[in-house]
Amino acid sequence: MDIFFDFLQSTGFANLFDEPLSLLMICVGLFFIALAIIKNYEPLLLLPIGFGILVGNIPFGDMGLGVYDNGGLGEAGEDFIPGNASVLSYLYFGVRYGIYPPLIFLGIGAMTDFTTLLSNPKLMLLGAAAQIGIFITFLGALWLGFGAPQAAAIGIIGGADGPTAIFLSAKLAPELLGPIAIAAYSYMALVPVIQPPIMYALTTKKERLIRMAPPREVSQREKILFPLIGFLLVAFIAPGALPLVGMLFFGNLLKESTVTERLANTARNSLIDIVTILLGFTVGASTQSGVFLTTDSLKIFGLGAVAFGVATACGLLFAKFMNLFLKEKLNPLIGAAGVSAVPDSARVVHHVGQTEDPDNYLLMHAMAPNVAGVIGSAIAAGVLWSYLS
Amino acid sequence: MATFTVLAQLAADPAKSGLDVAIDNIPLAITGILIVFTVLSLLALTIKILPKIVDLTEPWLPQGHGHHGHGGHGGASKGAAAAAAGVAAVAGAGSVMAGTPFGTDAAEDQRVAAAIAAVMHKQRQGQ
Repeated sequence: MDIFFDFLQSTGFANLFDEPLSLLMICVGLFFIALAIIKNYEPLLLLPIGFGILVGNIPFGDMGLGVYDNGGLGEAGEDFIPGNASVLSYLYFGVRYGIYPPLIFLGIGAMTDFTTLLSNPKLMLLGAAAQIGIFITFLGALWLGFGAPQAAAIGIIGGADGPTAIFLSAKLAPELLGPIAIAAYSYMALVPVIQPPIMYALTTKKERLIRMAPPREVSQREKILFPLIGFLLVAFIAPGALPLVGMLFFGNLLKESTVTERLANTARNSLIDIVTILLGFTVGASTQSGVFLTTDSLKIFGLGAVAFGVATACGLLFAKFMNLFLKEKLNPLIGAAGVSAVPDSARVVHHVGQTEDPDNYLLMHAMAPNVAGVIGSAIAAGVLWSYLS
Repeated sequence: MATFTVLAQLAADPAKSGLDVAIDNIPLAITGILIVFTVLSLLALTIKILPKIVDLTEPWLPQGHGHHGHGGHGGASKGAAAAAAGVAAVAGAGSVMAGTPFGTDAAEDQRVAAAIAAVMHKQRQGQ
């Protein structure tokens, strides 16, 4: 009977009394799963994250099953005891040490088409303008009392780039990685909700009706040279961006060279699927109630919303600023696509443009600042990491 | 769990409020923005001169055709091809940050979407 009662004490039901807030996080996980399945909101992200939240918040007491039960693996000054590390902690290794995000960038590069950017390079500046949101949020986080490394990790949410947010928080603020990742991916899923009101507020009807000229033809050789030259340029100026930008351009070269189609296929299919599963699941599992449900998490969610809004606004306003000097005007809506939520942000821009004029096709134009934003957010992360690590 | 609130800041420098710390870090923020702009501006300039670089490397790089088709086509087909490529690129990218593209049915959807976009753009150009 003693054995039976000991077993009862080890169950999640018994441990719930010590961790009652786990129930709240389990409800959050179920909510994410429902959003993914019923509403089809970013299912490839929210379902693994949601299930990870369920796994991470089962109250297991002292059994050492969580992502943080790593037996001293990687801890400075501690001896690693393999038997004490949980399986989840091994899977979480890729998040903790920033391994998964560069692999995701490899897949993103292998599926990204830079043609629209190559045909109209000035749209690159809209991607740069949207990254202003990162640095304004950085200052806001400092104002709210976060340290500089934590503020930088929070600010990067404004880049609307999940892998970059995870990469930078793993480097600068691993203790905030859970809420930052959840905030970043949540706001990415809510792009169609967050961006349109800002777009309508900061543009006039006349501006939204602007039609842009079709892009020029881009040769295959340009598409081969761009990742090579682009990588060398970015890496020499901002070496901190090397892991992310390097993998992005490497993946793109695999695609555009046409001689490594097998590798490009693997990168944009199997590899990115595997890493997405592991990353989403373990990020979700890291949101244990004791770690996640704090006032800092609430501040992070608030700052994340500010970051997103400011980034969208900066892209829109910079497009309007560029129009002061351009003969062929830009439709300022495409500035909102400077956040690197590819391709959702470009789709939102296209939809808003079509609402005003069904014959106005902004999608391909919006893809240019959209992919530029991916590069821009990686550079911003590299700059912050270089300075604050 | 350690907190990173004003208390931590005050412990480091009791005289400084969060606002003071933020003001002190404005130069870092401005520098970061300028670096991002500089790098992307240089990239844009590089792209602008890329056709000239391509001409210089012609003897070594393979002859290839862009997604937009051969030169010598009219502007309408170039624009239509661009629209088709853009739609196909976006459809193929899917939820890029999640990363996983679609299965066979979705590949077919991409081709259909690209064809529709090409026809609509040609019609618009012809108006």
